[in-house]
Amino acid sequence: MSTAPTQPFTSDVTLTVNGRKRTLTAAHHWTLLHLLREALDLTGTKSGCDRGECGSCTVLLDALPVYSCQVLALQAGGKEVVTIEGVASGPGLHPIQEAFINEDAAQCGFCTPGFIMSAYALLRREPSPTEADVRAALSGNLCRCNAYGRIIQGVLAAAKAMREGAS
Amino acid sequence: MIPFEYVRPDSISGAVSLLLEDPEGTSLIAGGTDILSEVKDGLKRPRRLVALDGLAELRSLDVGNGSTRLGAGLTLAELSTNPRLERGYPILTQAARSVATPQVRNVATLGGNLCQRPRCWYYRDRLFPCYKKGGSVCYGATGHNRYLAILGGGPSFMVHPSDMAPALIAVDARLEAFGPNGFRTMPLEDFFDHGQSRPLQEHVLGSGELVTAIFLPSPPPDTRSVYLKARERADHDFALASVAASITLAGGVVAKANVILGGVAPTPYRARLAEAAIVGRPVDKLDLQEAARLAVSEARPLEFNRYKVSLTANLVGQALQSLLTQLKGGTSHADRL
Ligand SMILES: Cc1cc2nc3c(=O)[nH]c(=O)nc-3n(C[C@H](O)[C@H](O)[C@H](O)COP(=O)(O)OP(=O)(O)OC[C@H]3O[C@@H](n4cnc5c(N)ncnc54)[C@H](O)[C@@H]3O)c2cc1C
Ligand code: FES
Ligand code: FES
Repeated sequence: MSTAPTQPFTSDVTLTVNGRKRTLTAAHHWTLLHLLREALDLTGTKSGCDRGECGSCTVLLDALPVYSCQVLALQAGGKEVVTIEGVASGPGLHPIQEAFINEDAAQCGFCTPGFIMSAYALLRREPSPTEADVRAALSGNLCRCNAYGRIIQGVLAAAKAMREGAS
Repeated sequence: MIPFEYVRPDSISGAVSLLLEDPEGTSLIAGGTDILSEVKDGLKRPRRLVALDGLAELRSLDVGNGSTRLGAGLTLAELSTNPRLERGYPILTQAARSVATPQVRNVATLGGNLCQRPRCWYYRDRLFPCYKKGGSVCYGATGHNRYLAILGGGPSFMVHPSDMAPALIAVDARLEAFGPNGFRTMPLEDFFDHGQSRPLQEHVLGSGELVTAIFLPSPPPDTRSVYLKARERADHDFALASVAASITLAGGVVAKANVILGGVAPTPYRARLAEAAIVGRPVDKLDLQEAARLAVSEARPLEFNRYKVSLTANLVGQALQSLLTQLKGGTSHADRL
């Protein structure tokens, strides 16, 4: 085992976060989760396990859901990141957020941003998902309060609302 | 996480040079889904991480009629969703889809999946100086060994965590590595080694070497393959036991069989006795129960993992049954490439 350097290495990194290009100086050992929460104050993305096991840190990286605790900030350089703060386009909420409220799809709410990001990625790809599709897409997110039934209902309701809104 | 330097070479030769500069203090990072947890947990303290994700050389996927090449940098999600791969080698898409979660599969690479470190909780706990960290004891041998090896254990009783490895071995994959002496290839089966000489890795790569690709031969006509995985939850989980099986028929007789077990031994385990019980037999006279029994006949379970013996045997029986059902109808994978 080697000894760690005392002065952290840093580099400039440019990435697009919620549609806005950002350039900042990141320590090499920062995760994307750390950059979002600590450097950009985007605290909607939660840190649960910090080991890729709970899904509360889920964000989209080039349109794919990933665990931001398991991606280095520098690995996200040049890429497009969407966080929970970026899902609603206007002043109101996104239909998935509306549906989570209407369906009462949260208890403590800590897992909610991660679930919404996984659902958001699914509905961009598949506007008419089956319940099985929803379960598969959300399988990388844990809810300690066990709100799963309502979360799944929420996503199906959001899909329906979005289809009706689009037609 | 302790600080390190993150370096992005622009070629595999550049990566090799960086590895050779400071072999002790350097680790490769592909997707990062395993190595970053190791660094966070204090199991590794690299001075430098060398990134592979920018290397186009590792990103190709060529499914052809002669042979198929899968770059080591392809993600498991890319492997899961490739229609040509699914037609030619459904066992590989089955295995890729069974790994972890969508978020992990979107980042985790094929090369990283094959080179990932053990998931044994003694290994993952910094406080246990176990064999796999360079110590002299496998705490799992007498400790909480519910998830550990029933076959081929000792000195470490870890189980190899990869789902891709058994599935790839079952379709006779070869691994390509690149290092200071250029390229070399080997049967993927020979890549794995929990040998006494190098306890800090589970493969045979030497200093400065990295995995660049996997080559797959075209499946012979009348070949079928399947990957079955038993786990505690329907998602997220590593295999309690898994079976990757393939059978090739010639004139109604089993000409070739691969039965590879995952999650039960320190490296992917070839169930030779089960294979021998099938090969050379007419397909309508196979004794699947006997083959399943033979697959685990050399098992030496530990105190808390005896359940894995029958679990594995049942899984082998199911896998072979599924191959026979497939063989009774439909076209072979080779015809569908
Ligand atoms: C919640 C969770 C569940 C999981 N469940 C499963 C499961 O069910 N089945 C399963 O198979 N896996 C499972 N995994 C493990 C996962 O598949 C691996 O972490 C992943 O495949 C590693 O790929 P990576 O690209 O992220 O590798 P990295 O983390 O970047 O690297 C892993 C290791 O491989 C080395 N490495 C990477 N690429 C190369 C290369 N080209 N040549 C040489 N060395 C290299 C690195 O130095 C490092 O030691 C799970 C992981 C998590 C977090
Ligand atoms: S905080 Fe990233 S998966 Fe739990
Ligand atoms: S609502 Fe509490 S963890 Fe899901």
